[in-house]
Amino acid sequence: MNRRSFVLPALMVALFLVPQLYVPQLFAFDFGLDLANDSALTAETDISLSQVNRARAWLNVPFGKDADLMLSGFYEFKGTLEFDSVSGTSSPLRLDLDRAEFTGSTQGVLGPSAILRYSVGRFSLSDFSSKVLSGLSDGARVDLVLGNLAWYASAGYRGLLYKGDARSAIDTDDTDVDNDDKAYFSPSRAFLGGGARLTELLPGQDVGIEVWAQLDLDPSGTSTHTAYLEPFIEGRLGRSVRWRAFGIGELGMGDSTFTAMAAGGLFRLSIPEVRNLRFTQSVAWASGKIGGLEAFTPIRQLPVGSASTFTFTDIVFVSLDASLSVLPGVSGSAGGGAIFRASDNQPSGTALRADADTSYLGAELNARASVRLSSDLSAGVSAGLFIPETGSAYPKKTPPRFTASLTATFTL
Amino acid sequence: MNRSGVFCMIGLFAVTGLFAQSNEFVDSLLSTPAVSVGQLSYLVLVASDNLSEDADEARAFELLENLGWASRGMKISDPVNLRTYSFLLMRAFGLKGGYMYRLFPGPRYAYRELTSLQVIQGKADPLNLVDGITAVRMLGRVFDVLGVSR
Repeated sequence: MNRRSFVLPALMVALFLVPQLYVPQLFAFDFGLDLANDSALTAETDISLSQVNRARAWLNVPFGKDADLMLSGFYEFKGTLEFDSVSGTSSPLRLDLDRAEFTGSTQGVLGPSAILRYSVGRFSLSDFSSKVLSGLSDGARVDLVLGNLAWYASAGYRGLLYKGDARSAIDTDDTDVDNDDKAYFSPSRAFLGGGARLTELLPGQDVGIEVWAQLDLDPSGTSTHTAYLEPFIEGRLGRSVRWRAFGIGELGMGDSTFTAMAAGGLFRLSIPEVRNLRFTQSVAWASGKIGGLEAFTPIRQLPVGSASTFTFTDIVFVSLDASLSVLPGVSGSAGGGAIFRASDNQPSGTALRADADTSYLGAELNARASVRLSSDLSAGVSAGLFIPETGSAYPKKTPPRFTASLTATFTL
Repeated sequence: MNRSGVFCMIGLFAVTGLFAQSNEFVDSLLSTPAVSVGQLSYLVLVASDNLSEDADEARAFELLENLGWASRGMKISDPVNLRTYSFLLMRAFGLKGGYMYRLFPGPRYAYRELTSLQVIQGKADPLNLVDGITAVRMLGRVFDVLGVSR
């Protein structure tokens, strides 16, 4: 266990204790405990059952109307049971900081209509598409809104995040850490980001651009820095149609300099009169090693789809989903998609057969439903099926991959 | 308050059936930065049909105590915070609340319930004192939640 292993629990305890001792005299605060269970079944060649139970304690301290502090930490149990080999693994104790965010806003900084918003600590941060960076980060973000122009800048560090949450897959250091059972934290990487968004440039249409940079701070191993340029456009047509599109250019500097790209878009049709029915058509592409480009390597790697094992690199994913609110508090969705590889190389996840000559990798179907039984109890069920293309991509006997999960959350 | 705000309030009062209450009370309530227990008792108990509109704040507070909804030591002139007002609204309108509210009915879970129902909107401190405009807006949203058109 390295030094950082002690820093986080100590920081968590301090962050909870200090406000409880000193803040209540001056400010109100609310606190609670969320109990969550996620039971998942995965059936492929083998069948496995995993169980994640999480108890999340949180504390919210408002500082007037314009600022508040949100602290949360959790205890998690995780266990997996393999049915075929009748073997199991478990991680009985994981104690970590969830959020530690001080956020606020102030008006009239650079003019009567200017609004300045800020967040400091551990909080959720993402780029426009969430394809470069998403999830929790440690750092700071500032937004300055001047009329219809918004500027934002952020900086942070991801080396204090659990490696499974950080999902860093930039170079071999990440693979080594991922394979090291004793390693808890993600490799030491910092990031900088900034952007501008012009709202209503044309009626109902916003445009913007973001710049992100990732700095490899680990002196040992491979040193890989990456930078991303992400222009985007987002708009609506009438009250029912929304759309968005983005492109990402990546420049990497490791053992050699490389470039990669990604792009995507979304088109959504909403019919609120029919039980809030929504159709969403989306497409996303991440480059592979082809035509002078390398595989796209974001700061945080996200899975593609819900049942397959692909990640957003060397991939094309086209999907169509429909969702609706069946009853008050009850909603459901269903959809499907087709997955292709963006180059002739092996995709992430399971291996193709040696003579594979098609880009099409398979189809995916998914369905989910959620119910809010009361303000403090909610439950959800989801299922996904990936059907591999066995004609000329995967070996003939490759079985479909089925996943199902049941979640329930209760807030005390 | 600007003119549009006044019209909004008048509109809200019309739909919530409060227009019949005395103009003096309405004027006083809307201009109050920290509404008292007496004022809120009258507002909520009349709106929930627990009290006739010709009663006064003293009678409303007396009824609040008789119903056991006033906390110990509460005085008619005390200002009211968001948590306490939430509890009063939950009680007066018989809102069911979540499982924790049903187990431990009180201001803490009442505040959470009304935040969850969007009756309390935006950044809010449970110990913030309730002003007149907020009190009326929250009451209007409770009617929206109940689907009541009055």
